Amino acid sequence: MNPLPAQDAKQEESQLQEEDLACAAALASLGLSPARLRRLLAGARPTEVWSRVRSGSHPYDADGRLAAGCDGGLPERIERRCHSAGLSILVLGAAGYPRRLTDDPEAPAVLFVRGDGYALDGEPRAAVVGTRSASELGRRVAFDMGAALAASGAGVVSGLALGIDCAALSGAVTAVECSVAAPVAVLGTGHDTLGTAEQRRLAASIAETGAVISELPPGAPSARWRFAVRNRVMAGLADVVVVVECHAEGGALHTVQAARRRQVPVAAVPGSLRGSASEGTNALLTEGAFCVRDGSDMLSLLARLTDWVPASSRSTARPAPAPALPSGLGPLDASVLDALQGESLGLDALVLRTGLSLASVAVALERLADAGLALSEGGFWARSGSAPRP
Amino acid sequence: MLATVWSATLQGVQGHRVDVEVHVSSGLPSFTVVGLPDTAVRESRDRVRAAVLSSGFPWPSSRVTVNLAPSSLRKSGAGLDLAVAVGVLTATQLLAESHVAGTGFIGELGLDGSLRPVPGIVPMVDALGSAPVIVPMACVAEARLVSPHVRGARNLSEVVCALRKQAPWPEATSAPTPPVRACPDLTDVRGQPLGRRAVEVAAAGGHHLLLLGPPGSGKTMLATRLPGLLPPLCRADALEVTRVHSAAGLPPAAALVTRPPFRAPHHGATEVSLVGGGTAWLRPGEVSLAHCGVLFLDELGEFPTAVLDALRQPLEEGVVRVRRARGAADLPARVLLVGAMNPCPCGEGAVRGACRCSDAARARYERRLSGPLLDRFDLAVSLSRPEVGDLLGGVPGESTSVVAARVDAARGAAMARGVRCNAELAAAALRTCCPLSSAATSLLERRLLTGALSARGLHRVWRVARTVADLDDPDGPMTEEHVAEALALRAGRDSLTTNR
Repeated sequence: MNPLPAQDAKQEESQLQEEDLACAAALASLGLSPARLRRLLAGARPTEVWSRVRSGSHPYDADGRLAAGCDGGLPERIERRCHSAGLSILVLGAAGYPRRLTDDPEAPAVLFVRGDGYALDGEPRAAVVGTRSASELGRRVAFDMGAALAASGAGVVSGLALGIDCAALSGAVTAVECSVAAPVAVLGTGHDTLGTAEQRRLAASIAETGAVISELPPGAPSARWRFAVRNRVMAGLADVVVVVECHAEGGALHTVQAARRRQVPVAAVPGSLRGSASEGTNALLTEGAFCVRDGSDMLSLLARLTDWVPASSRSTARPAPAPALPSGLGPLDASVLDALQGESLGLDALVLRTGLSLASVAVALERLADAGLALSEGGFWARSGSAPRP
Repeated sequence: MLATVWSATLQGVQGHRVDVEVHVSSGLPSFTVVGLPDTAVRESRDRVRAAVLSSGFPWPSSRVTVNLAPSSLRKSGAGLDLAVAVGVLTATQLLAESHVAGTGFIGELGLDGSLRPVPGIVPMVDALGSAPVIVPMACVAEARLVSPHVRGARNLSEVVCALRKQAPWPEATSAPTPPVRACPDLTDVRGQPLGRRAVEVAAAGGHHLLLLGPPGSGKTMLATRLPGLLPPLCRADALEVTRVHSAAGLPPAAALVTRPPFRAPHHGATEVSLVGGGTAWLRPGEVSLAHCGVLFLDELGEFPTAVLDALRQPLEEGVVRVRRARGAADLPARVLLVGAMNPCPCGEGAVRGACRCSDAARARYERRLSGPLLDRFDLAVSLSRPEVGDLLGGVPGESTSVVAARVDAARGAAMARGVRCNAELAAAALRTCCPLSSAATSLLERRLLTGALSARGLHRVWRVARTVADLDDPDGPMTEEHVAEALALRAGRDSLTTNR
C-alpha cells in the first residue's frame, strides 16, 4: 500500500549524464536545507543549475553567497570521493531514484547510497525507531522485532543511532540471510562521519545486503537539525512506523509526526508505567497508535495494512508461554521468580521482597537465568519475556 | 672550637640521625650552614641567632660554621634549630661538652627563644635509638610513644638551665587528649541488605569495594561505617600508622593510633597529595595516611584519570615507592579502597532507560575508570534508594559490634591460612586450602564458558567466596550459595562494563 496518490507517475524520468550526478552532488554539499535544494534542482538539469549558481546568476542566489562557496573542481572532487567510498548518487526525478520517495512532498533532492539502491523499493517496510537511552528490555524487543520482520521478508528501516535503532538493524542483519528483505539505514550525517566503531561495523554489514542512505555527500559537515530532518525519509520509506521505546520527548517523535503527515500508520510497544524510556510510547498508545508487542504482532499488522502475505517463517509463531516451572527448580526459585514483577529489580529489592538471604536469592537467580526465565541487565534483574538473544 | 650535637631529620616516613657539627674560629664574623640544607634549614641561621640573643646568651663575634652530617642526606624542616643553637653554645663553652654528649635535640626555635613543635617527631625520635632526646613540650607525649628517655622544654633557657643542672627538667604538661571520635554505627543503615553485606565482606576479606548508586542511596553512609567493622590494629601496625601520621604532621596523638584510619580525600586531589612525594621531605600521601585502614574515594568518576591510575601500583604492592632525583622513600600504603560513584552522569540510571543520559555520555563517564583499576575492585554493588517505609520505620539492622564479631572470626580464619586477609591469598593457596564443591565448580564453569567471567575474575570471585564462607562458618565447605553470593557482590560491574 502506498498512502500517497501516484500523481507524478505520468512524469517521465529524465536520463542524467554522469556530470549531472556530479553537479547535483556538488550542490548538495553547499549546506542548503533539503527544501531549498529541492527547489533549486526542480525541473532543470543539474549541470545547468550548477553553472548558473557558479556564475552567480541564479535567481535563488541573489546575494551571491552560494556562488562564493563554489569552485570549478568541486563536482569532480565530490564524485571522486563518492566513487572511492562506493557511493552511488541518486537524483530526484531521475532513473534509479526510489519510487517510494518520488511522490513524497519532502523528498530529498539528492541521495547518497551505499549498497543496493534498489533495496529502497520493493517489500513492505517497517520503520523501527526509538530512543538512544533505551532499557535493556527495549533493545531486546527491537532486536527480536528486527530479526522477525527480516526473516519473514519485511524490510526494516531505521536510523543508525545507538540504542533502539542499532538494535533493530542488528536484528535485521542477523536474520536477513534467510530472506529477501533488505535492511535500510538512514543517516543524519555523511557516510564518513559515523560516530562509533559499532555504528561503522553495522553500516558495513547493512550495505552488504541492503542500503545505507544519506542526504549529505561524504565530508559535508552535519548539524543537529539534520537528524530531525532525516526522520521524514524513514517515514517516507515505511508502510508503518513502530516506536519501541522513547522518552516523553525525543527524536523518535519527529518520525511519528512525519509519519502522520504522510498518513503512514504508527504503532508503539507498551512499556512500564514507571520507566522514563517508555513514557513516550505509552503516550502514543493512548493517542491511538497500534499496539504491538513483538515481531509477530508487527507482521500481522503489516499484513492487515497492506495486501502482503508474510513469507512463512519460524519467527512468526509466537513463542509458547513459559512452562510453569522447569524441573530442577525449587520453591525458593519460585518465590524469587514471583518477586520479579514489573520493571527490573536490584538485588536489594529482591532480598527485601522475598525475605530470603542474599546467598539464596543469588543462587535462585543463577538457576532462573540458566532456565531462561530471568535475565540480568547491568546488575538488575527482570523476567525474560522472550527466548534468549541469538 | 668544635662541638657535635645529635639531631634528626625526616625523609618520607623514615627518620635519620644528623650530626650537627659547629665550628667557631677567629675570622670575620659570619654564620654559614653547609651539608645539603633546604630553605627552612638555611633560614635557621637567623632564627637561631635571634633566639640565642633573646635568651640572654652572647653570640660569638667570630666565624661560625655549621655542618650537617652525613652531607649526602638532604635536610629539611626547622627541627634542627635547637641542635644548632645548643651546638653554638657548646662551641663557645657556655655549655660543657659532657652536658650534651649522647643527647638528641629536636625542635624549632622562635625569635624569642621559645621551642615550637615540628612534624615527624615519632620517626625522628625513633631514629635516635635509646639516646635521651630533648623535644618541644608540645611534642613530649608523641615522642614518649617510642622512647622513654624524652625530656620536654618550653624554651632555650630552660634547656640550658636543665643541661647545666641548675634546674630540674620541667614536668611535661599533659596535653588535653582530643575526644575520641566514635565511629558511626551500622545500625543506622536501614534496609540496604546488599550494601550492608558488601561492607561486611569487604571488612572481613580486605576486598576493595566499589559502591554504585544514585545520590541518596547511602554510599557514603556505608563507607564511613566500614572502619568500625575492622579489628583494632596490632601493636606493630599501630606503631607504623602512628609513625606515618606523625611524619605527615597530622595533629599529634597522645597515644598510639589503634583504630584503623579512615581517609576521604576530595576529588580535586592531585597525584602527589594522593600517593605522596613533593619537594620538602617526600610527605606521605592520602593512601599512606590510610595505611591499615580505609581509603574512601567518593565521586570516583570525578577524579582525574591519571590520579586514579597512580593508585594501581600501591594497591598491588601495599607500598608507594616514591623516587625523586633528590631522594627516595618507601611509604607504607596497605589500604582497603572503597570507591563510590553514580552509575551515570545524571546519577539516576542504574537501570538503563531510567535516565536520560545517552550511551555515549555514559561511556565517557565510565572511561574515567581505567580497566586495570576497575579490576582491583573485588566487590562492586549497585545500590538503590531505600524504600520510604524502611527509612521511617523498619527494623534497625544489626549493629556494628555484632557484625564486627563475625568479621573478627573470619579474619582469624584467614590468619590460620597464613595471610592477613583472604584478598591476599595466592592462586595456588586457593586451590589447596579453599576447595570448591562440585555445584560451585559447575556454576563458575558456566560463567567462564559464557565469557561472563575472565580467568583473573575467577580467582577474585573465589577469594570473595572464601570470605563469604568464612563469615558463615570458617571451617565449613564452600558451597554453591557462597559462590553465587560472591558473584552477586560483583554484579555492579555489569552496569559499568556494558559499553566496554
